[in-house]
Amino acid sequence: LKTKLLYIEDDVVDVLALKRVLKDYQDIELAVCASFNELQNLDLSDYDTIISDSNLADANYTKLKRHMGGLANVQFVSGSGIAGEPIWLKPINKENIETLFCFRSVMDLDYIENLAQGDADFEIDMIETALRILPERLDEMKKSIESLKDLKLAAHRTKSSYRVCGIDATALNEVEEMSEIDFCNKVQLEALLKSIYTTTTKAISELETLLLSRVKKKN
Amino acid sequence: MLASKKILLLEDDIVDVMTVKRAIKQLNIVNELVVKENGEEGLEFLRNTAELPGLIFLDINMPKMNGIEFLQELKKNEEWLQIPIVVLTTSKDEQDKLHTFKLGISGYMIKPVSYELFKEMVATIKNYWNFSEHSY
Repeated sequence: LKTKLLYIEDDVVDVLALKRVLKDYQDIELAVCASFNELQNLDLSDYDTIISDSNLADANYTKLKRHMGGLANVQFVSGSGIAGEPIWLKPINKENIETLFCFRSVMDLDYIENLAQGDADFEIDMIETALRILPERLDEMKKSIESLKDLKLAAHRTKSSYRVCGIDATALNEVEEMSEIDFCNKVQLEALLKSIYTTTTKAISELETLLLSRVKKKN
Repeated sequence: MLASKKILLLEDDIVDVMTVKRAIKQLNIVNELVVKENGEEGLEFLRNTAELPGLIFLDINMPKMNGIEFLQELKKNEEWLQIPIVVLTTSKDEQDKLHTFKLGISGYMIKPVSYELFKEMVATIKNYWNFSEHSY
């Protein structure tokens, strides 16, 4: 899963600075747009996240904000900040990037789509099943926190659904880690479970949206 | 593989059952698929069926009786040993792999299995049955 990040910036030095920060994030695909003129020709829905300078040579903050109005995944940056506006201060750092991950999709239905070969009913059936199964699996894991053996089994049973539904690799690793865990540190287990819970809840929410779009498309 | 022969799937995860069913449908396999949720139910089926299945897809981690225990039971029956068994598991543990091969499995696939790999595996099993049929 690659997060598509668009950086709207006309300052080459700032672009290079962001590229340096992104070196540690192999799963972020960066695209750069250097002017408002260029921006107008882009389909912004192609990007998971957008970072925009608040002031370009051919557009100021108001103009940019108006153009991207309504998009929830846009973050403005500025060298000096704008009073009362939630703008990041340059240079963009790792902490900023980490917060962007909340915009990121945790689902990848490639496997299901490949198996479905265009059969909408199958896709809908699989998504509905995943929506039924995932909360059950989470519940199983939560209930098993006192028993390492049960917890491992519950995590193991979750792996397959995660893989079939293409749920985020980091979360899958956490589930795998839990299924193979051989120590009983409750604090660590709870932290792991909390992280799995967050991703799975996001996955469920995304699956619900996907289901609606598939049903709408079918009808 | 003779169309009359059933395929037995031992799997407790509904998502995996659905993917195997789908792959079988995509491959135009007409053999009846019998699904059982654990090793115990699988053995029960083998004891009571009039004709043994032509292929068993086996999960490792199942409640009540897991895949390894099922294979150990299977080894005790001469007649059951001729059934090709393909393990479908999420386990990447080399020990699991080694252990199941020692117990006589014919294939080991990590879930979710790609359609192409599944296709290859089923083709191999079909060849096995064609060869067996011509041997008699």
